[in-house]
Amino acid sequence: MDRRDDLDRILERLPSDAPRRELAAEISRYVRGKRRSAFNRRLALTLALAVSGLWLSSPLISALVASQKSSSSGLAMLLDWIQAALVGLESFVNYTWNGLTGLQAGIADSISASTWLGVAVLGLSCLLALDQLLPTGADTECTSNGSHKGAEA
Amino acid sequence: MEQELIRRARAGDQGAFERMINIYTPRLFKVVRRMTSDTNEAEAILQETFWRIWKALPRYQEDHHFFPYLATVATNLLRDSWRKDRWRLSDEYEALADQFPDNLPTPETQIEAVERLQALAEAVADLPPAYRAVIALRYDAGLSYEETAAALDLPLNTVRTHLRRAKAVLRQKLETFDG
Repeated sequence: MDRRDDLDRILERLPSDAPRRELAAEISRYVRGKRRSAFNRRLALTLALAVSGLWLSSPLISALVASQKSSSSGLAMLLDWIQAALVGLESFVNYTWNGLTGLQAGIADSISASTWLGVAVLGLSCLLALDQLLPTGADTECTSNGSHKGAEA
Repeated sequence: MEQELIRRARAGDQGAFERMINIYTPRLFKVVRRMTSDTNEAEAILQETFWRIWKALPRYQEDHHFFPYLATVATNLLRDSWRKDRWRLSDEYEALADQFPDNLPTPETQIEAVERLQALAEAVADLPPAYRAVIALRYDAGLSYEETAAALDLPLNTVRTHLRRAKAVLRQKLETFDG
């Protein structure tokens, strides 16, 4: 056996400090604490976004409530759509498309940009709320060649 | 069992993940401790490594070996925590390492003495961080050359060169120890 093999052999059994007996338990506690604080941060962000979104989009909500009360839109329009669907697919598609674009144009005329921002914020808060129901989000991937990206960055 | 634990942890089972922490902590600590002489830093790196792994688990591909993944994350965290000039090799050190031949005939074929092992461990601790990392990943973590290169984000040939130079320095230290 030459010196090269000798050195490899020694390096493979080089002495090293053992970890403290309680280190694994401490790491588990650390991960639990980080999970909890991450969850709380996301919950707070979700609530903040939901409240701001509701406030910003209140004009739209008011408009939708008002439209439900009038006979020419809202629930009545939904019933119209269902009836149109029974009449025929083509007429249904046309009717829906015209109805949606008309509704959109009407809302856009009367609702300010801040309302749309509110809708977007509300949507974001819904997405965050849904995300919290899933396991903690991933930010890394393990690629097929054995390299690992993201988490270690 | 490893894959079963990973599968359960990916599904959000904290207990399974804590079992993984129990299983892998001693081995990972050995690797990280070899790279840094600071025990507190090694422990902090382990904590952060497991936290990042937990976050990354949903995208972990189960057909890959888990320990190289752990070692990769830990190595990169350690590297990031150090200043670049502490990690980078100086030209003088590389030149010095190149002066040592790596194929000297051995004065003895069996090196069993604990003192010699300890001396070599101290010699490894004195190596520049880049060399220490290669030694730790190759010998303590048992990674292949390819896995080591991927973990350090270095070309394969650079890893081979680092390893050759590190071993040349260690041989020289052993000879000095032997008198």
